Amino acid sequence: MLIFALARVLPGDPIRAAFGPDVPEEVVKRYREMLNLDKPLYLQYFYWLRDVFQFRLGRSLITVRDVSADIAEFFPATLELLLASAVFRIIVAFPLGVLSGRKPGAIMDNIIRVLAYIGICIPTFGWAIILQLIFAYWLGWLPAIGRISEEFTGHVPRITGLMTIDSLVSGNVPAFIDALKHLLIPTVALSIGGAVQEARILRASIVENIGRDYVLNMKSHGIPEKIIYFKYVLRPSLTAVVPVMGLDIASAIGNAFLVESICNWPGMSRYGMIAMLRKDLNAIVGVVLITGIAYIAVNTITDIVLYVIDPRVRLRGREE
Amino acid sequence: MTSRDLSTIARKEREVRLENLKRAWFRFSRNRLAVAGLIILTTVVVMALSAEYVTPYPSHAGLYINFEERYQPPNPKHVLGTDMYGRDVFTRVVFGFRYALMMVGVVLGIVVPAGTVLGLLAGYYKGTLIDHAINGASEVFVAVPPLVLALAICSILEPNVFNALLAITLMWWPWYARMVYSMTSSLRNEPYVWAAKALGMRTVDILFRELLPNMLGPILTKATLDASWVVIIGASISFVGLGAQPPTPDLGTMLSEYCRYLPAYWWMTLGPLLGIIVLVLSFNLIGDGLRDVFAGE
Repeated sequence: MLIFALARVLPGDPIRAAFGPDVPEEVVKRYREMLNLDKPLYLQYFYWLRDVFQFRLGRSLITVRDVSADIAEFFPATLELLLASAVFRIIVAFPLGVLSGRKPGAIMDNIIRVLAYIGICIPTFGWAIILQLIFAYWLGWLPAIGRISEEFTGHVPRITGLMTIDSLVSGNVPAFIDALKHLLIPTVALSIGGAVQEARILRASIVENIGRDYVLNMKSHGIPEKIIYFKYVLRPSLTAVVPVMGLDIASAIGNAFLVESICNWPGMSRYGMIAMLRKDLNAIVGVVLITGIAYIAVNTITDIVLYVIDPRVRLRGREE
Repeated sequence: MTSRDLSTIARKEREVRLENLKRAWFRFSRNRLAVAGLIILTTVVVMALSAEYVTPYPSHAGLYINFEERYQPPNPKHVLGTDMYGRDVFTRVVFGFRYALMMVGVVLGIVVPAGTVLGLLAGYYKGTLIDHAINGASEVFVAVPPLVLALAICSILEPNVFNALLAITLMWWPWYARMVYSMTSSLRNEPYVWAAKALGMRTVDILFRELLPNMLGPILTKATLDASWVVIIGASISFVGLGAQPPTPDLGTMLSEYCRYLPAYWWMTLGPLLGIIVLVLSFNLIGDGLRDVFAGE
């Protein structure tokens, strides 16, 4: 259903635009026949669908390779960025949320509130620009663009395609540090806005749960506050954050398009971006398809995590 | 019931409504942050509408070249500095508000009513063909990150403001449809809906006079919060070069033009970025205030 609609919405336009006006008519015609573009729309769709099930997404008009090969080359970089961003969110959002939820109204709580407002107001690409400006240009601590420095290019074997893990596995520590440095700006840009908001949500739900009767009951039984807090208050509070976090990570896939092009990160999103600017239709459809799959994957993972931490979700499933 | 009774009821209803509105406004005005947001937004709107008069150099909005004054850092004459053609950045940002606000107005003006009506229909006729058609269609759009979809749509069409608007509008209605759908499907079995049905009220009236008023709060809140997303997504689209084209003073377009001069001429980038931040902040403050107002009810 999804694939069908996307294919329908997207490759509706004449492909000629991609070649420019100066290409002779025969060449265009030959290309059209080769790519089955002379056939009616429903046949095109049929061919395309057949190819998808054989893991072919059609030929890119720019790299003249199969789009699936292009994506396979660029996807790991995006995956690395997204994973790093998810990790960053978790290590930032949870401690901040727990800190501000513990003592509502304290200084820490107010700092985080202000941070959360700043977080919402600056869009992802704004963060990318600001971080580049401060840390790369003014302070010079971090590299502004790219994935790894010149001197390491070609020295890291491609194992998983994730530069940081590859360099670590092959024992190349300097390369690992270098890759990590490159990873930092895009990761923070991609996730900081979401992370502080998730911290706020966690805080709100902790504050709500602390006021519940069962907490009072435990206190009156003399159970230490720390145990109450971390064991019995935190867990139900997580159920409020996890869906939001999943949604945010999923939408980070979209924002990655901008961050990757600003930071010159050689990932799938940047590839998609270039394809979009040049009207490379097969590549666009391919990238949107993969993005959609990744989006669904993230949502599924969120559901699974929720299933693990929230027994109510499990019970609901059984009743139905 | 005589017609006189009916008119009394109608008058009472109006009074109650006015009273509720007053109370809502009171609660909203107690929220300092929300009022601040409203003031900022009003200022921005007024400035944008009268951009020709309030900006120091209205002619700098479009094509204008004055190489003698280019690359000037912020100074009293040019509050936010000048760009690579010697144009005043502040002027251009104020003109940029126009495009951003127009985008918000057009997108929400289409999306909110359309999404609401579709959601009402789908929710009211739950389980029928109408429900499946509307929800099926909206699922397709929800399955891909909105930004990616908008970018993809823009890239296939010609890159200009109109198509950017079209793309955002296309991808946005499902979110409203889904929200209204879930509210309608929980409200449709309320006694007052049954009563209206039993009295032989027309379906249109049940939908718009009985069900809709109960959802206005959340819809309005979402619309305000979404306004900031429209600003961001609109800017994103033109930032990557798929929306308004230079020399249009669109905030996103300016950002992408200026960030090439980044390390040295940072103030050029700062201007449009600040513009976006101000807009988004004010919408968010108002939205939060509205949410508190309606949550209290």
